[in-house]
Amino acid sequence: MRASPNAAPWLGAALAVAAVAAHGQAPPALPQGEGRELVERACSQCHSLETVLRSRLSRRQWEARIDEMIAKGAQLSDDDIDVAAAYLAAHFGPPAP
Amino acid sequence: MSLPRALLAVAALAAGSAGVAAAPPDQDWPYYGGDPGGMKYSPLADIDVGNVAGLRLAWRWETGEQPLAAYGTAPGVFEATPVVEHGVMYLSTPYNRVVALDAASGRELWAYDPQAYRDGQVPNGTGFVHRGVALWHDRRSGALRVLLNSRYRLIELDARSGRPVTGFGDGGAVNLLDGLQWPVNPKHYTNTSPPVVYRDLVIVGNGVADKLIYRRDPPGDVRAYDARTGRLVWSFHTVPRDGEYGADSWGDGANHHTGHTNVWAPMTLDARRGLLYLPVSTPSNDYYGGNRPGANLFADSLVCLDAATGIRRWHYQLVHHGLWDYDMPAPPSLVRIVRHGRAVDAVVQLTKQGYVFVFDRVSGQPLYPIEEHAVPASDVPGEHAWPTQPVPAGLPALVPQGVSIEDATDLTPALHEEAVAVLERLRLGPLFTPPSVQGTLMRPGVLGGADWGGGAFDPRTGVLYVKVNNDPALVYPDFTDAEGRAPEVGPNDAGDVSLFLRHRIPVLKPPYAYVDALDLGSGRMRWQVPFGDNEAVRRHAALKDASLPPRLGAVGTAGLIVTGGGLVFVGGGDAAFHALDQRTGADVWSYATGGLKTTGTPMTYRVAGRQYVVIAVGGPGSGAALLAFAL
Repeated sequence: MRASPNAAPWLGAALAVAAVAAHGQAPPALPQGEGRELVERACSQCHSLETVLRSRLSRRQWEARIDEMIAKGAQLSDDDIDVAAAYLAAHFGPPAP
Repeated sequence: MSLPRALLAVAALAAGSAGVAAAPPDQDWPYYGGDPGGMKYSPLADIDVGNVAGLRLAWRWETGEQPLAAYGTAPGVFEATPVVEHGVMYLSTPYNRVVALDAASGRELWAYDPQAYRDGQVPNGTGFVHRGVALWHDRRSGALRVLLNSRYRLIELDARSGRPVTGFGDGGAVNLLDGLQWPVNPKHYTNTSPPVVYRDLVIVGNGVADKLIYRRDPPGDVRAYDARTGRLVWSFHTVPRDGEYGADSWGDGANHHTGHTNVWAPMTLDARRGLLYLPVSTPSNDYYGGNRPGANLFADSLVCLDAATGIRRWHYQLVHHGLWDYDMPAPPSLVRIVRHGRAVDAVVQLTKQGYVFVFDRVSGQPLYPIEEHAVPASDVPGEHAWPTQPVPAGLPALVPQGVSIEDATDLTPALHEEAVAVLERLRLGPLFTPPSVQGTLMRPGVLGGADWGGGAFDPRTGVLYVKVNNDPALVYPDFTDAEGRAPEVGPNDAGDVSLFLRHRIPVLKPPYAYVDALDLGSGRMRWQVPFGDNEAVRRHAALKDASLPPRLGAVGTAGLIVTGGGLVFVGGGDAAFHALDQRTGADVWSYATGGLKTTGTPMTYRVAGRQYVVIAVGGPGSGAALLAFAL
């Protein structure tokens, strides 16, 4: 097993960064653009960003999803919603007809 | 007698001889649900209706967990309910760490980190959550062990040191993927509810992300392991294999490839009789069953097993051919009620759909008759919704069911108009209206009704208390084909209808949650009160001139407890922790949690002569904490 030593204090990100190289688990990356950091922060609170990467939705569809996530605890202001929906629709919109 | 109790007894004798009042004995909370049957009742009465106003924060312990950018992980909601034995508290954290605290002070004694984040963010929509651990007494060695099911591993720790018990499994852990019917991606297999311990067996179910839709999603087998060695002792197939009872309830050979049908909610145990109760969930996928024709046993069923062997004793399916994600979400409550003048050991299954089903826990006979009611058919191509669904006679539903235009929010005339426009775009109807291409608005939604918090039962009065949500969900069929070619996020995400007006105001009328008090002997609702508030709605600019009810209701899935002091303690997703008078539902004490939502089911215990009430708050993200209150 990969269990850590007992009674180790919570070492935080430093430990994690050191360990990640060995374990080879890289989080999925979102494309650059205004709203990327916001989406990363708000969406990855609960679920993997793979959920975002695999979706192809219109702006209205993204807004509906964001509203749903806010009700579940996602932390976004009204301004954030506009930024996030625009980013998501631009990078994860429906495929061109 | 345990050592601390023996010492207390000696101390009491000494105090008595000196004419000083003795401290009352310790009272543990040694199981997730208070007792193996999950009544969530404590006889403690030090804190009662008369003095609860003096309840104060005694200590606070913070998880300290943070998002880890290197792994793309973040701690989810802090949903744990600790256990306490011999003055020590054991709990699990969102990142699946196990922590031991001094129950009187909250001082950390040890912490064990399984590094569950190293496998990246969990696929569950809930994120990293974990609700508790189980204790096992090794009668040979006298040692106390702590059992944690973390993602795909079952880990055993020494309760004194927090170190893995090396004789268990491989260096202290069992790989739960071993022995499953087909290979499973480790990232797709999760655990959130605590194991059950029966004698020298540790019994676990598993969690699965709802959004995973593969031809072979993780199976929901429930397994028992030798607590001393980690050896697999028995396995119960929640989707029966060919030749097993119920296999013929899966058409087109769907039992060969259907996953989920898992037991993610807490199981409960009649330890004296050796009976284990499994609340089983919906099969893959949640909203389309065209590839799994039939009733689909043992999905959406309450199943009773012989705990020693895993052999099925009885079952009752409470949703046929599930299409609504109406998993059996709550730990089956093992209670003793008086029905028609006769005392019966019963099991109560609370449901997302809002019904309460009560059975003789030994025979499986319903104590309130269950009728099959005709329900709407599906018009989705390939789907054959089951024509009837079970409804208990003589027991009221816990929440409103179904949706009509009359349910559109009326907080203001303008919002009402917007809500009607939304509802007119959707398919509305009674409970069990199937998902539709148009989009079906179902109520209760996927958070219930009841959910994993379950009920709390007062054995003195026969009343069951339940925190419930009045919250709809919008569902579309996921047209996953039998080859599992659909992406993880399927057409269910295709809707462009928001159930929230101006981003935050629910489309249906408040209240959005209740606490119910149901007399299980008579079947009468003693009281039902709106519970909690929704600050985002209350402060919304669109409502600044509106006259709002005093409690809008807080949607949340955590549960409650009832105590000998006549109090129901409940957080239930509100940004405050409350004590209700169990006779009336009146709010007799509350504690604002500083903007953090209450996220765990509370528990209580007495140590060193003082009763504490504890609840988890906070998350997702940083800031999660355990709050302990005392007089």
